[in-house]
Amino acid sequence: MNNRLLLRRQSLPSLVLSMTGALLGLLLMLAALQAWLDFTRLFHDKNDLLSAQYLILNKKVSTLNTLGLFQSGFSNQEIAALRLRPEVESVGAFHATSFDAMAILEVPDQDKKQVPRQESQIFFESVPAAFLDIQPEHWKWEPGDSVLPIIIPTEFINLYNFGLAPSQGLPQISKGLAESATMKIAARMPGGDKIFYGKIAGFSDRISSILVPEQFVNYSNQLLQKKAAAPSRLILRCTDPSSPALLHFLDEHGYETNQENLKNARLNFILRIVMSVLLGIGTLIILLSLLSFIQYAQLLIHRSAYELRVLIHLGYYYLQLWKRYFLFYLLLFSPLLMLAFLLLRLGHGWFCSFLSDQGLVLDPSLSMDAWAGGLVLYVFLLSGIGLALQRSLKKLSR
Amino acid sequence: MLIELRDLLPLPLEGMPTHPATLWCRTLQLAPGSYQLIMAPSGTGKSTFLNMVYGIRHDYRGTINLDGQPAGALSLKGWSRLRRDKLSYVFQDLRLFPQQTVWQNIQWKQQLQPGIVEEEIMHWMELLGIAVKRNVLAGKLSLGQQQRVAIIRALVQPFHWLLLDEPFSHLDEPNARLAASLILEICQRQQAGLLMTSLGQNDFFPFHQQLTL
Repeated sequence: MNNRLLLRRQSLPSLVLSMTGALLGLLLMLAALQAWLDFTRLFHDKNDLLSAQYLILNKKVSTLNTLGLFQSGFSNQEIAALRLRPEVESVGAFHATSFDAMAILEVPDQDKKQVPRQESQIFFESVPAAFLDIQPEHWKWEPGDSVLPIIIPTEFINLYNFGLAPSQGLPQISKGLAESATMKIAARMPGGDKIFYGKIAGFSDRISSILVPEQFVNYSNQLLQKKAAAPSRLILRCTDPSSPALLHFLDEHGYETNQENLKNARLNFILRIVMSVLLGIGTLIILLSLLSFIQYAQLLIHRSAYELRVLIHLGYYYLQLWKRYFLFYLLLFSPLLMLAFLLLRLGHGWFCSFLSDQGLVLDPSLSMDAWAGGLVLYVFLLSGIGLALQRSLKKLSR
Repeated sequence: MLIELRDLLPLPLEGMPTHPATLWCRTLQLAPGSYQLIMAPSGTGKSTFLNMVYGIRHDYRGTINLDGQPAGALSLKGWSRLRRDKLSYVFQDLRLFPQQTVWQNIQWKQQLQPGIVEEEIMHWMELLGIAVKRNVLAGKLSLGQQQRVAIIRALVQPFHWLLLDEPFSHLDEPNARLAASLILEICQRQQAGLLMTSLGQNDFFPFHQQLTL
């Protein structure tokens, strides 16, 4: 039909301006959405630099502790109070063994010459398995087992390799070699010493303690007929470990945490803020461009008011006329959306290659959520314009 | 379609001294297929009355019933249906699109109700002497020619009533007669009624009733 009659009174500059605004807004919002998705993916990768949902808490150690006048354990009430914090998802307690133990490091025969015999007093702790950053294959122990799986902090082996070994002229130990080594553990228990063979099952970046399966700690404490002591350390799984309210709470109660993780948490927090700002600016631009489109649509209708009124008087229903305008916008917006996706894909690909140079690996393809987000915005813009057109045309019909 | 008028008066005329009118403030029935002449001097509301019947103006008191239905209760969709199937109107100010050709102007109506074929419309245009202007922009035509385009456009649809607002004001007597005879022929074929306004007496159509405002 004769659409030229209704659409001929265009103003090219304002149309181009509105389109540019819409493209920019679409692009910014999609970019923010994609970036948010990318970073959440990075944050949720376990044991990654940026993951910081775990906090390890202990009470401040003061002279009073040394003198034995002050309990450094967490009481049940204190744990319950922590559980009630909105930022805290779950709380795990560190439980320690309470027997004296000696550890003697034994390495396989062929390596005996290089690595000297090491002997040390030792203690063990356990945390619920859900709080571990690694999940070793044989992470269990049952009474009667002589082999005891152990997780040691990565820091330990680093400390040995880069501190002790060079200074004493000792050879460095790889993680693989450490795992093949056996630690003879002599535990002083009621009814005589017991010997266990400790096998390193893995290295933890998250928890700086010598960890054994919970069953072992429970068993040894039962054997010694000791009541489980109040845990001196807690591990928290947090939604937002850098929340100021949580930090204030911890400070107030004299709890200390691992500061490095907090730094990461702050970085995480800042990144989120940057993305929220990006998302906010994108929203603003989208809304402004929607506004300019609505005004443009109203202008278009206003400029053709005579023609539209005549058509309505000839018997055209306003929705029939609306369809023509809407089709125009549909044709205008579809390439716009495709262009936004194209630019986003190119930009994202470039960003990913930049990040992979920095050692962060991301999937360069756009996520389904970004596609869906783009479609939602497209529908939002079009329905906003469609509704505005409908209202203006209905007003003319009366 | 029966048109009933009850105690009708446009709001702008309220309180103004009116001549003894046979239309305003009366109860009237305009029988389907009847030819009505509405005769009055300028500015007494002839166009207003047609616009009220056609649903363009709503600022009146009293009621207009179309086939028993109060016109005031009609929806926008209801009006557009009525204008497609039952009411056609030759506006006093013609309401053509000057930047479109004569044929494009007529097509708007034909696309809405594609009942009447192109050959027939061309035949009508030949009768009224504007067939040669088919592809000329309406704005380039003389007022008389434009008036004939408006008349033909109004005929290109089914209707029960044809509203003519001083339809021959720009035509000379012979051309007016030609147009009137075409209108009469189509009205008879469609068994439609006529509502024609005029400044004075005329015998273009065999009127059943003359109304004054």
